Amino acid sequence: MARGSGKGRRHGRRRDHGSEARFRRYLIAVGVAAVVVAVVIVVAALARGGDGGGGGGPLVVPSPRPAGLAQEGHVLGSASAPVTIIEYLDFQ
Amino acid sequence: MSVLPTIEEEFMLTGKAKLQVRPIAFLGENSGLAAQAAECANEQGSFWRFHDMLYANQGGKGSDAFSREHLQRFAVALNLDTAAFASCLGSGKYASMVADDTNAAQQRGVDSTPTVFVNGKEVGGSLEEVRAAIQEGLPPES
Repeated sequence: MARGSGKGRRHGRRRDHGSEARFRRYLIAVGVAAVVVAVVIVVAALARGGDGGGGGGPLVVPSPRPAGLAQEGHVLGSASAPVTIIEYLDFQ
Repeated sequence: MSVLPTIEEEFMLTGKAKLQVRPIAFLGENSGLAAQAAECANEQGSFWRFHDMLYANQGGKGSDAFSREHLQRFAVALNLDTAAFASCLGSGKYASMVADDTNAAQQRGVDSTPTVFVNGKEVGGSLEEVRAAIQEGLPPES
């Protein structure tokens, strides 16, 4: 009886070791998956941040200009204004 | 022009100055596409709203912030006629105009943007320089 009981305990320890090893592998797999997901999220966030508001994120919609300011084609301000400012611009 | 809000308030709203912008394309394909898109918005009387939208959503040289897809998003956000806008942009009808304006600017000595002229004289882009040039161009009684 005593010997038999001893064998049973040894078998139980082997099963415990097997379960612990599987659990450790499970934890490692979960950890690796979490790191991969975190890296993907960070890379996606950096990519979105790098191309400005027009890059698929929320757009910035500017406030309208004052109603009293004339806008005609490419000209802003009164056509009869004595000073003319010309600006060459590149939107990018 | 980063000084525009101040110049707008001090000189344009008071009828002393007007600003004419000339979009050119120095910085790659999307730069030209953005200029063409502004012309397409101009067909719908929305040049300045589109101008402001582009500035508010800039992505820098080489970014895709002004890809066709994103420019179309701007048109949607501004409640433009998006079908007409897409047709205009897709046709490339303003491509040669933007190229011609860019060449003309280069022949005038413009090699970077923004480049500002006040009454025909090139000035630096700081608020003080633009303000001084405008004040110099005003008639004595202003």
